[in-house]
Parts: sequence; C-alpha cells; structure tokens
Amino acid sequence: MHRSIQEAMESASSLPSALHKPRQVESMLQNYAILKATENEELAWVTLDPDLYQNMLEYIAILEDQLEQANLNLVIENRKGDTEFKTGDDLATDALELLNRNQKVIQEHLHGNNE
Amino acid sequence: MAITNEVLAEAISLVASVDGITMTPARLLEDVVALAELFPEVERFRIAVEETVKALSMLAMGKKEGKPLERNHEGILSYHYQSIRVNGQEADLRVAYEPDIGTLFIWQFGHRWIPADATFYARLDTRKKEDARET
Repeated sequence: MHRSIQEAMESASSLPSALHKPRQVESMLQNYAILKATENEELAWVTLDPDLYQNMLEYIAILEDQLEQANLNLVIENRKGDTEFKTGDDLATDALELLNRNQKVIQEHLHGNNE
Repeated sequence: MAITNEVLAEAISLVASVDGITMTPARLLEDVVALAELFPEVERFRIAVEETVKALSMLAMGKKEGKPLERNHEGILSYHYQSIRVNGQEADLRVAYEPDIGTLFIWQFGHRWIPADATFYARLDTRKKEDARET
C-alpha cells in the first residue's frame, strides 16, 4: 500500500495546477482508487499546493456521486468471486444465468437511471 | 422502447460469440448493462453492441490493435472505437484487453467518459484487483 501511495503522490504532484484538461484528469483518475483510500491524513501532502488539493477534493466528491450511480457491482448480485475468464458458450451461458438471476434489479437500475 | 432483459441477453450472446476473446461472465454482463444505461433506446443500443462486436472481432483477428496503457495498467492495451459509424462521431468507446496466446483477455469495454466520468480506468483498477487469473 505504501508503495502505491508513493506512486500516486508522485504522479499527481507532477500534474500542472490546471486539472481540467481530459489528459490530466485521466491521469488523476487512474489514481482515484488509491487516493480514495487515503483521502484523510495521507492526502494531506497535497496541501503543499492548495489549488491541487481543492481540485482533488472536488473530483473525489463528483466521482463518488457518479460511482454511486454507476456502480453495477452493487446492483448485480452473486458476482463476487466470479473472476474466472471464460470463452464462447461458457461465457454466454454464465453471463445469461447471471442476467437471469438479476433481472429485476437490472431493470430497476435501468429504469431508475432513464427516468 | 426500453431495453428489456431479452435485449440484454441478445447483446450478451453476440459479444460472447466473438471468436478469440475471453472474459469473465459478470464483467460481460456489467459492461452490457452499462451500455444499456448509456444508450437507452433499443436501436441505438443495438448499434453500439454491433460496433463493439466488430471492434472485438477485428482485435481478435489481429486486424486492429490498441495502444499500450501506462503505469499501473502495464501490459493492457486500449482500443478506441465509435459507438456508431457516422461522420464526426468521436471514438467514444474503449476496449481494454490483454493479448495472450490464442486469445484476448477482455478486461472491459464501454464509454470513456459517460455515464460516470472516466470511471473506465477506475473500474479497470478494480477489476485488476479482482482478477483471479494470475493467482
């Protein structure tokens, strides 16, 4: 974990203060998961650059909202542990079975998002 | 017309039928549902699925190749393609994959920015952590 934090810090601290360009945002977002886990004390290093710190917090807040909306992991049940790579008929069969088990929540999810 | 589970099933079957790709069933379902969120109209959704199938097929046949991702995504390639083939349409969709002997491991496909800005790579991080293939 420490090494990841260090990498994230080095990466983010190399960004220019204007963070609104897609390429820069992309770099920061690649480290989002790491930064999210360290957003309290360990994120304090960014106070070295107040603009960067503020931008980071804003992005994290926005992303949290968006992730909440888009997080299908919360919608699709019984997916945890299903990390085995499959191909062809096996892939289709298992994905369809998972769809079948989650028909209701998926439709509610889609319907809710599209209202 | 809203996208029904039958339409989702049709999309799953189409993507899974591409020769030379390997993916986890749950991620395939998640990515198909995410496309349905993005394109809530059936016809538009089907076009995006068709373009995804074409992109995957071209990659699997070696006729197209993505660009390597950097840093914590080392070894993974990203291919950009259009969700609909019309003039002026940006390459708004992505496939993140990892070539292996005789197959492509598909980590993820979907939109780069919508519906949740840039979570494509955040989700990719999550999926990498989940991956049991190397354990």
